[in-house]
Amino acid sequence: LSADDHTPPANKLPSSPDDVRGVLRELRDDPLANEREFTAQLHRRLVAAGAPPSASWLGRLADAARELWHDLRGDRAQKRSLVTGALVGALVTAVVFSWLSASRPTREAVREAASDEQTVGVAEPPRPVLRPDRKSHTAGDRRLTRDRMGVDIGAERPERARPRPR
Amino acid sequence: MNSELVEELVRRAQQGDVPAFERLIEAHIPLVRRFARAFARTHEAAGDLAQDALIKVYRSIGGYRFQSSFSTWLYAIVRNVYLDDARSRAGRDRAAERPLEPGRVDADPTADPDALRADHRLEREQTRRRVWAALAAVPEDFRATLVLFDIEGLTYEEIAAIENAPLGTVKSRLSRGREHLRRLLAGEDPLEERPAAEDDPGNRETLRFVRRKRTEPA
Repeated sequence: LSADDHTPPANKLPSSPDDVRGVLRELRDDPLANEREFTAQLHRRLVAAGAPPSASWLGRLADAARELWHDLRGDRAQKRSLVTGALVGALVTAVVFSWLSASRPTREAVREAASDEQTVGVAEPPRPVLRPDRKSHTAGDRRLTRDRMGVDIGAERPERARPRPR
Repeated sequence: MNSELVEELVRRAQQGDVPAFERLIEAHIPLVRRFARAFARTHEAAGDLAQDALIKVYRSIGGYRFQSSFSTWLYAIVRNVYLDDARSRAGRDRAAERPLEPGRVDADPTADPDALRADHRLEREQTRRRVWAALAAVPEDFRATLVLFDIEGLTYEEIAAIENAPLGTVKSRLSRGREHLRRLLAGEDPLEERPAAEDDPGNRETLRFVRRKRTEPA
């Protein structure tokens, strides 16, 4: 075949987009070969593909669990030991974490009980109940550097004890 | 097929009922196969590609939420499968096969030249093969639109929904795809810029305006 044999005859050349449309429309009548064979092969592949996976995450989780179960039921010793190892590991980790979280309040309770025992019989010193003379004396956390008379008292003045709410 | 039946079949297919799925897609198989023909070199490859696409549809049917018509949803998946396949294959094909030369399109190598010359029916068949081969050389996006509109007769709106593109984009792809195909069939280089034709009234006006502007003193 020469190169000219590949080119459609001149009278069949589409000269405009509308001609192209006409040429393409003829392709719609193209016969589809081996229709039965196609359908049969598609059926086999669909059956082999199994049920379609669910779109929701819960459904996917269930599908994955079902698939895993089928795998485990089969003769796949290597995968079975791997999954068993993963499950045992997860179980051990869960037990250790639950033990750690359960023992923490116990240790704190023991520590508090010990400190209570040490202070038994010792009276707690009375705490001064002070009222601010002016609001500016307690405004914010900024330390005052001058007293009421305007005398510099320095930045090292200790903070006043704040009254505790009763 | 009415919408209640489609819904019932979809629900059953979502549960893994293969016969229900087959009944659902039965009417769409010819379109899917012809569509695949534009993205595959041979009938066999087109059959495999169409089956891959339909398997993908089946695997994805759990995600169908009845928000669009089933056919639109199906063709959108099929189109994506074909485009993905064409794009993943494009580099390999370019390396493995000779490029399509301007002025010729690939013919089926199994065709017998004597039989083609002898029989008018076969000649027509060969012409179809040429068109299919030329169509395979059109860029994928344009090709998909051409097949859906010109061959399968879908509407602009349906194609816009399938391609998830505005109507203007669909029309533009259609126009450019037809022009690309026309050039391929006519033996012209489809990538070459076409000079403005003076016989077109719009172009004539534009050319006259440009010439006037050039001759006017600044």
